Amino acid sequence: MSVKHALMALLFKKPTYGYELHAAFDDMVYALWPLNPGQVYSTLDRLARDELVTFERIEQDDRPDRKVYTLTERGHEAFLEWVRESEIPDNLLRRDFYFKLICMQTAGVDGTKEVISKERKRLYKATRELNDFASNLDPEKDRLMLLLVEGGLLELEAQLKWLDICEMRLASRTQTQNEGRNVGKPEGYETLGREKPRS
Amino acid sequence: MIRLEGVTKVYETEEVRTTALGGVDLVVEKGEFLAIMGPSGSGKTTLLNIIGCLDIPTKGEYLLDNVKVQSLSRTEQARLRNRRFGFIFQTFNLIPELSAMENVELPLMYRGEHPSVRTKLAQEALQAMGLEGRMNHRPPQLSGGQKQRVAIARSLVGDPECILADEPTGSLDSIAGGEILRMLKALSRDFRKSIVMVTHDHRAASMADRIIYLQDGLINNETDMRQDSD
Repeated sequence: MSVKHALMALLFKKPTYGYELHAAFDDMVYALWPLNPGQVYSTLDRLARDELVTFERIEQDDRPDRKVYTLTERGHEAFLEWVRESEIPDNLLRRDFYFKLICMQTAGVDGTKEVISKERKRLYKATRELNDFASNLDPEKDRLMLLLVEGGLLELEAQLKWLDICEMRLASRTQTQNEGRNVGKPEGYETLGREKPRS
Repeated sequence: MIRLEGVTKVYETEEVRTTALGGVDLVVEKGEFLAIMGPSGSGKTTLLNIIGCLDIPTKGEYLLDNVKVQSLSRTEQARLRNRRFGFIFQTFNLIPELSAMENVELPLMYRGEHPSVRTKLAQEALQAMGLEGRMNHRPPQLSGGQKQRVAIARSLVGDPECILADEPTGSLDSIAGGEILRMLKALSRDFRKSIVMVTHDHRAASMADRIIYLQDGLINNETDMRQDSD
């Protein structure tokens, strides 16, 4: 998300005072993205420089001037153009945790199971926090934020499932080292889901 | 307290021998909320059935408050099941012809409680689940979330120490499912009920104190959410 587009969205409907934009931004993102006033004003300055917004000074007697900002026609167009353009996809194959795993394997450092276990706990905690956050939202009033939460939860779930797969596949390569808690093999284990080596 | 030591379960037919559990060690403390996860066929439900005295291990020991469950007669096991455990299921398993009240009273009938006691306890359990306005409704007149709340009331009415839940949110949308999970959480935290929940849903599992992951009948990994740093 960019502050630039958020401010343009807020100005899209009506001209607004600079100081009001900050509060409106907080409402829009549930204060999940803390901004300092400087960021708001520097972004507005850049938007003005690029002629996407204009402003008008309103003098006040004993306080600094207020500025009211308006989105220009060019600003309207630029905003709509941004809305229509497709997103640049994240590079799915450059996930930090995956990079750590391959570095560990490359360096021959032990402890993959522990690292996976720590990551899993972090993801479960994040899931729980997001669940708690969602339980305080109103299905009607907060429906946009609920959509975002739902997406976040699905992503966490995908990562948790992926960790299960990582652990399973990496463990099957080191099974001879007999790591982990359940060292004893169950009866009939040999017949359970073991693939025969392909010739 | 629930304690399993090297619990193995093998199902045998003439041709096939299937190891559902391959030697599970597990302790569930009083008031603990445990989630059991794992792919289909990993032994989750078998484990839950053994804990609930619906099935017995082929090998290994199951101790319930230091009593060996296998050494009890079938009648004693059934009695234990009725007194110590409450069950909830993915598909609620309510009797559609009976009202919410009558459904909740059922476990007490099996116990031979007096009708006036049954009514009082069932009312209290339904009220605790926020269903005071739905006591005379029959299951088809209730939403999924409400049905599951009736089922929780039924599981609680006999004041068991442990609630066993098999995919309790599996038939619910995320909002109703979230409510059920918060209720289960509250039962363990505020009323010291042990909760053992089988689920394939990581989101549901994240509410538990501890999550174990079964793979091929063994505990493959375990996440303890109560320890803050490790």
